[in-house]
Amino acid sequence: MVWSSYNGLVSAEIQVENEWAQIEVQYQRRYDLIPNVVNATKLYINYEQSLLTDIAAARSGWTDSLDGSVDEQINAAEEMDDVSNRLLAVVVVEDYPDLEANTLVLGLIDELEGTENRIAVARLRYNEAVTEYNKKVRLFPR
Amino acid sequence: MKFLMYPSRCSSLRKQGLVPIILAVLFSPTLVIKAQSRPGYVYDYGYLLYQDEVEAIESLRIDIDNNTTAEVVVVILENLEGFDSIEMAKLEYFNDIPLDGITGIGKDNGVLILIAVEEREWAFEIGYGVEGDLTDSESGRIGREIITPYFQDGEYYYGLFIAVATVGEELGYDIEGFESQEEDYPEPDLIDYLLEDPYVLIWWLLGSGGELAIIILVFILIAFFVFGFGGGRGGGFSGGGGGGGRSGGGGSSGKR
Repeated sequence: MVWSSYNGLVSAEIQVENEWAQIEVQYQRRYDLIPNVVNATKLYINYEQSLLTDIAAARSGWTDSLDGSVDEQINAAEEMDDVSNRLLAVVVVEDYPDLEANTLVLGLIDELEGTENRIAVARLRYNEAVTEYNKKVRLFPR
Repeated sequence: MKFLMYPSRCSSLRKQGLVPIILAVLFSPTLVIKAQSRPGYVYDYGYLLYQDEVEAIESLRIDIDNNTTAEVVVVILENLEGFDSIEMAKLEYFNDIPLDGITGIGKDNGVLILIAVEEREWAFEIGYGVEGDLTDSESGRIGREIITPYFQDGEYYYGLFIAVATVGEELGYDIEGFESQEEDYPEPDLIDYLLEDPYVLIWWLLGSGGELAIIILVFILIAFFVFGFGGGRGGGFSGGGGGGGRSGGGGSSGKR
């Protein structure tokens, strides 16, 4: 009995790790996309310096956190959430007619928005996996 | 289908020769039912399309499924009531619709096109399995360059049909093969539609810039002429006809 519930515990833990890996993939994608979006839109949009500095800080914070614990990565990711949302709030294409005609840039913005959506989904799944794991830990050994 | 995963359980029965009978009894009704009621993947809750248009998109969709194993799903909602955003709505529908295309099980290769009519929004949700073939920027382009302009012209069917076809092409589907069967997918028949409702016919005539109204008026006047009612008024009718047509056009737009 103990053995089988231990097995369940291990598979739940593996599930948590898998879901975290999914999140990490999307985080890395966002990390790569943000500077691309900024550079591609610089011609059209006059960015506030504070946003650009915050983006740089959040990105280096994310790189540093990769060697740290999951908690540190989550904190760094929240910084990235913040700058990414601020960036997307500035890049509203309707406000820039020239930008609206540039399909390449529009594509980049789509990618960033899509990545944000995927992050939201991956987080949901990660939280579900963690909840499942916690349940099993509390019940162990049955 | 789950039974098939445990053939060992059947092995003792197989010796008795019962397996074919049991299989026949167990599976044939379900298979028949499944084939008959295999759900369509074009859900028009927003009443944008005619039934034959839904069927035409559905046929295209099945063709794409057969060619690429990817399921393209179209959901049209009246509005986004009950959802925080179109993103939440598309997730809900994407996860709820069983994408069990025969060869696509477990590939996570579904694509959902969601339309919210009142909000005038569209959204794509793309399964992990086809993310590489249909990127966010590609789906965004399909939305911006196909769905938006066609919908702005009121061409909902063409917008969706071409969007689904383009999604299929990105997934490796050869649209050329489909075009040869195009006559199977009828365009909505305008004449039938007009004849069903005489008011529509009148509005359509008035709205078409007046030319048709003029032509019809001319025919009526000729009829009068032939029957001898307007024998002496031949000089006046072309001008009068034109005026009548124009004022008819003006009246229709005013009432709209």
